[in-house]
Amino acid sequence: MTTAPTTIRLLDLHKNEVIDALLHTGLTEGQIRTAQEEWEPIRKASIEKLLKEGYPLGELPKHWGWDWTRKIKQLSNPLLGFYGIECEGKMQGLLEVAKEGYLAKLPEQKGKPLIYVKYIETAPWNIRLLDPKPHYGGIGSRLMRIAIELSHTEDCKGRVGLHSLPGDKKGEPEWFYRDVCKMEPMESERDGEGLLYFELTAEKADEFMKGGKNENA
Amino acid sequence: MAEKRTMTLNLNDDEMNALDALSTRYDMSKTAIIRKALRMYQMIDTRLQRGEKLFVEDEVEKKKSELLVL
Repeated sequence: MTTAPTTIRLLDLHKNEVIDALLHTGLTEGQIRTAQEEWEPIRKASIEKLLKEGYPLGELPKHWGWDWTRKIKQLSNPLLGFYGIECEGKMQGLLEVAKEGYLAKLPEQKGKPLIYVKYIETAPWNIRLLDPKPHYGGIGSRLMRIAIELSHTEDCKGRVGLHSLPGDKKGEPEWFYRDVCKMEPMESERDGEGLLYFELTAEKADEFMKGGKNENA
Repeated sequence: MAEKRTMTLNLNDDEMNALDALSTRYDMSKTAIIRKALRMYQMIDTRLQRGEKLFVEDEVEKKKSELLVL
């Protein structure tokens, strides 16, 4: 289900000013296809460029193989939520969450429902690795805020869980969830692909929201 | 955010006790529990309408039984 988009604020790093963007709650097939079509060639070109420059293959962003059009069949699934941040006519970030079926694993909140982030991705032109000054900053943080806000709407008190793509250097996924979002890693809860599980407690969610930290991740 | 509407729900004691217990167990409001239940029911109903079946499995006893949903 889609609802009318709401206006949010984003930092345009090229102009160094805060500008209006649209937050889409619920996405259409057209929006998914357009984002995929716009992102995919840039991902490919960027990978080729980095490899030519000698960048180690293992250190490239790990989510560049995602095909969002595979999710089109799930857009009307009431157990899932799809969100997109649009600015200047282009999708700047996409988020898919599960509203049901996941319970917290950290001892202090074990067994309590949470919002599980299935996929979260920033448009390739907003990734620092590709451009020392990405176009829009803080897309990853903004998407996490959306997940936390949904967690409160669903009465999950801000609890959020996810399995992170690898990489714990500054700017990489595990660093982002641990150091920026203040999520707790749980080694014992790695998934079948070996991805590390992170969970946000209600208290840390409040801290994150109050902090309004807008790291460029 | 989608607009919300209010309704009155009439439950007997057993139903209210069940709702209270779920609300306590999951640390959620009764409204949130009802919303979750409705969403699950909607998902199950959609799949049953497509001709799929719903099963519950007991891994210890190695038993699988079909769940009938109205």
